[in-house]
Amino acid sequence: MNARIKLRWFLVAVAIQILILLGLAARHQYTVWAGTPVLLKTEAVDPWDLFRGDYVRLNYAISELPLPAGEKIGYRDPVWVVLKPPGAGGKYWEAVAVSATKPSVGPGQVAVKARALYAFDRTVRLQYGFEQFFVPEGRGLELERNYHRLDVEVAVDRFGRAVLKTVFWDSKPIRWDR
Amino acid sequence: MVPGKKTALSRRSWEWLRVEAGRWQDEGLISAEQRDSILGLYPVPAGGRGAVIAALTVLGALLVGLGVILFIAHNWRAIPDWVKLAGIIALVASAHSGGYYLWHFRDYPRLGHSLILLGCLLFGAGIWLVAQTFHLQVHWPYGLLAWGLGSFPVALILRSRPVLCLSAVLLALWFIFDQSITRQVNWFYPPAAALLVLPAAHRFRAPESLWLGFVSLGAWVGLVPLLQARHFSYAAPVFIPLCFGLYGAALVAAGLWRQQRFPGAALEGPYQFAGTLIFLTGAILANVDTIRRIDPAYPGFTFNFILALFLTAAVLVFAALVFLGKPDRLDGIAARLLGAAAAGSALLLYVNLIPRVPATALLFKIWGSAFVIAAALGVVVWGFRRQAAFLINIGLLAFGVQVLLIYFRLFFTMLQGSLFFITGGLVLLGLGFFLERWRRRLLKGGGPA
Repeated sequence: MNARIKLRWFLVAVAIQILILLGLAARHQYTVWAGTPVLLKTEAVDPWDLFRGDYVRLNYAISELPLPAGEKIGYRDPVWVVLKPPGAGGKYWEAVAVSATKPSVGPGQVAVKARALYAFDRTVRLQYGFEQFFVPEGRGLELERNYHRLDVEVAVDRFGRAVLKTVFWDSKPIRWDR
Repeated sequence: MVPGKKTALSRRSWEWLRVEAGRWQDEGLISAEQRDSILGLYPVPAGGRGAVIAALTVLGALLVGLGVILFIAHNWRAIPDWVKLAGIIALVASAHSGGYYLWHFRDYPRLGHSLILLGCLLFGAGIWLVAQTFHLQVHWPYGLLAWGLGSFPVALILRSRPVLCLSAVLLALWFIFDQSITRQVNWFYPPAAALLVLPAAHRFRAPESLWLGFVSLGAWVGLVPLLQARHFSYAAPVFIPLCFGLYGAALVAAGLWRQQRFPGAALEGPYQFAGTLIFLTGAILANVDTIRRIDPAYPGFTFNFILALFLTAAVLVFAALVFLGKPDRLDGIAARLLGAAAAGSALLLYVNLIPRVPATALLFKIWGSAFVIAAALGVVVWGFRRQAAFLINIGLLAFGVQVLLIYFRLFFTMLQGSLFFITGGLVLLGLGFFLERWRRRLLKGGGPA
């Protein structure tokens, strides 16, 4: 391989790495921009990860749902949850249906895809992919102790992918640069 | 040796040859021209101060990479998300471009190479940074996959052994963590290893990546029975030694075929050594009581037939292929040892198949122990013939482990606690003395490297 061709292919290899990084961010950003905003009530616990920093694991009212009769769901099986907008005077979106296949949704509703962690006693524990919220070192415990003051806004796109958009503290978005 | 191709020697062997050739010249056995001609047959191995520089710069790259990962882990939220993303992309691009420039335009190959490695480490840190910045919670082993696959083209284009090694490690970690989370077999790892890691390791003559690829594939092969056989999991462990035995024998066979097909080709070691190591591990595991269900009343007993059958096949393949080529006295001894073990296995199987003469658990115990001891001794003799210290060592190790297993099996229930340990300690000391003496005699006699 001569020097010029080698350099060209090397640039392609580096471009692949950069595209992977941009692709990860773009995939997330697409859902944020194109998805439907959904406000959820949350609770928090406080795990920590050496290489990824301090984060809180968020629990939602929709994290554990009743399993419809006849549905058999195993570990890591895909599960679809249909959410409906809050009713009059309400603030949070609520789950109205759970199924193993992609459901049809009514007007204003969204279907979000999750994975089953376990099913027990006709209840299924779900993981949506927006449970982790990274926080500055040492701030996780503060959130855990005040979980009742937290709300989370996620965005759900037409493919059922959901990403965490904003975490609210007493209805105000959390900002760490204060 | 292939005409026109120089056989590579290790630094140590090359130094030995250089000193000895000088001595032959001093003693008048060869002329100065002949000495130079002999040394000219072998390329001067890289090493010495160059290796120190390479080690220092690689260590430097690793430390900087680790520092950046920990810096990111500190999760400095004051920086806006898109600035952080731009920053990590700039770091990756800078490390790569700086490395390429130093390597190819300023003749600093080692420093340049280390910066390229750093670029690949920063790329991995970048994947985790993006996940953290945007609170992504995907199946995280995919991050290892993206890191490994993204680094591979760099290794391929620059023929970089360290980056290839990084890529091989990441792909192995990907399948290990993926399987541990999903509890399902990752069917994509073998093609990834077979199409990417192994061909590149051959192309770049990279024994470390070949070792990694072979051992990782061995781990994959060993885990398949556990993950696949959920519904009869009590019997699944029985298949682990079987898979190891077949895979190890296949590796040795492939290595020997390759050696015959392409004489003098590099990378003989990983095939023989990794294959033998995995094969003997399988043979020993087959004799651990918790794995080998020896109770005839137990439903899993039938699996012993399959196990014995396949291990017999494996040992026959092993024996046949090990001694391809010109036979000599040692070949004959080793072949007879392995052949006797295989014949004993076959006889035992035959006896088992006759309903009126069921084999007892004791027969299986004897068969299993004899099999491992014969295989281990065969490997020692093979290593002696090939002058490969590693083969001798792993053969002796397998022999020692098997003797200990026999001791535990025979005396654990028969001897009183203190006596069991005292006798066990004496057995260990005696075994150590015997093996050390034997090994020394073999090494002195054959002089393997």
